[in-house]
Amino acid sequence: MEKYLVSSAPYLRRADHNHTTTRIMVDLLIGLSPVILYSIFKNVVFPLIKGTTDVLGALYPLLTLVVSPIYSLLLEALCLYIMKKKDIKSFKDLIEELKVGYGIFPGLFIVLISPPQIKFWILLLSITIGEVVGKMLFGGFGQNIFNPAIVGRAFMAFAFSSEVSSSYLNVYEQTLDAYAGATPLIQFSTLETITYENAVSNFGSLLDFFIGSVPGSLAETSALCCIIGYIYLSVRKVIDYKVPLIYVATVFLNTLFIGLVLGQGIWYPTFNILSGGLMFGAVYMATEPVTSPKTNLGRIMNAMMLGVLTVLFRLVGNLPEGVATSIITMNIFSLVINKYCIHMRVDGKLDKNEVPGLVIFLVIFMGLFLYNIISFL
Amino acid sequence: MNKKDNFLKGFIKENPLFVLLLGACPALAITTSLENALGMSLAFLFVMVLSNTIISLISSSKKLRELIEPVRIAVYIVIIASLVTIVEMLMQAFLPELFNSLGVFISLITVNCIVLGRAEAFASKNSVGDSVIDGISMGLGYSFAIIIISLIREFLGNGTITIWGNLVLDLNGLFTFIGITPIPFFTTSAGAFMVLGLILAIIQAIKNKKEEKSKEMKKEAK
Repeated sequence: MEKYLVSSAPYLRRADHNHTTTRIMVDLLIGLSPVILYSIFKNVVFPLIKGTTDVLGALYPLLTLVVSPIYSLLLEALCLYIMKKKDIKSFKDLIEELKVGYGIFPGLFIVLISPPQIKFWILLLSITIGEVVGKMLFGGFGQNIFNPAIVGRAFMAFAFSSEVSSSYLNVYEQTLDAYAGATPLIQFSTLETITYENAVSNFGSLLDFFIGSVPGSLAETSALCCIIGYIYLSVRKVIDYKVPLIYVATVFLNTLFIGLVLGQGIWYPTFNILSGGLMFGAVYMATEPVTSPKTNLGRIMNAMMLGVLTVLFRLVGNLPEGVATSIITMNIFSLVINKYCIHMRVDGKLDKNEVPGLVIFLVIFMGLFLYNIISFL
Repeated sequence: MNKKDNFLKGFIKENPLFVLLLGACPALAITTSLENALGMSLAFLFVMVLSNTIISLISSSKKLRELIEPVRIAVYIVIIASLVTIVEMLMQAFLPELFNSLGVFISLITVNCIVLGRAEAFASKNSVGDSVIDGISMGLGYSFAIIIISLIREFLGNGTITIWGNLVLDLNGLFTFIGITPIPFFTTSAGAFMVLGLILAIIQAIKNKKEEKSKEMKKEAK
């Protein structure tokens, strides 16, 4: 087999000829704006309208939203200055480097997938880990193996699990008696008998899950806003429209079967795709250009595996969420998937010696899919 | 290589853990407190120096060396295992608490790559004096490495530094002073990997810089 060299992501299409990667990133910011605006409305404006006494607590999420990207950008500048001292001779050089580094995104994404009332130093420490360990130590933008935001978020989840699970409620939700103190998914994972009343009714109806008025991380609650962002980003071709679709569809199908096994109705899979960070993760994180596979087939394989892994971690394993963990797990395999698929992309057809790879993938996928269902029998 | 270089190489230049990445398993597992690291260091130094001495003694006789040539790895392992057993029994008798907290990792010194590696790569080819110096150098280098890792991990993870037994340095006040709490993550194995990885990255960065500098010096000299 010949060797093909792959330069570092992201790639520009010919249609973007006159633009730079900055175009992609501006589009991404526009695509993110619905979730950001909604999270500000839900966690800052709404409590203030309801007349909460804790004004500082209500403004706190806004503060984190503003500070985190700036902090992340400063960290990037510091790392660049230390690592590339030779190339950076003036302030102008540093600005040029920062322009192609997109240092605000790790910080922005980490704060968006963190609980609204998380302690400030924990947030800053997680951003430091995500930005420095997850991104800059690998060589900066385009070189990282793992999604830096998820590295930071995973560090936060595993290092401060109790702090994280106790800070999901914003100041308004803290005053409500109905909420047990955590997200629907955490409550769901502790249920002994699963019924619609137990799982959903505490938090309203499934429509509330769709609009996003349930407790949860800053940006992940609203499926509606994620879908708006998804449509914009797909139309602008910033993300591959297939990935979120296949990811969510796989989770839906798998949980549908699990629901049938458990004797639950259609609410069970719907609850699973609407709750937690699944929509946000599928639209904004699974499609990240640097760390996800680069060919069509590779992306489809990646999305399918993400779906079954999320169900595995969430329902069979003991992690309440599972989206971030499955994305970081599949990041490891991006290189393998790329290497496998790139020949097919260049040749344009399935060679004989490429069939075993596809069979192995299908066996692993179907195995996990069935295992998820069987473990509930 | 003179004696001074031979002694100093184990600390940074050929540090068994930070540069050669040998013996990482116990280094990651037992470095949860400084006390453990110190105990491990003592045991390791003892085994390292004595095994190097015995093996270089054996190899210095030509007849004996030819005799064991086909089975030398097995012979080395037997020697190292006997030394480890001695350490283990001594520790069980006189330092039972430390023995309990180090657990299986004392016996695992037997299969620690550094001991065997130095026996094969150095002691079997060099004189007794040099081998002893090499053993001390490698032993101290390894101790230096695990003590650094354990200091970082215990301080960040627990807010304390256990020097020996009840002699505990409580630094939790520092954490409360800046308004944070210790991060138990660093006492878990994932934290150990992270600390080791960061130290490796720093050492590699310093090395790269030195190489670049020497290259530039050569260019200028030309």
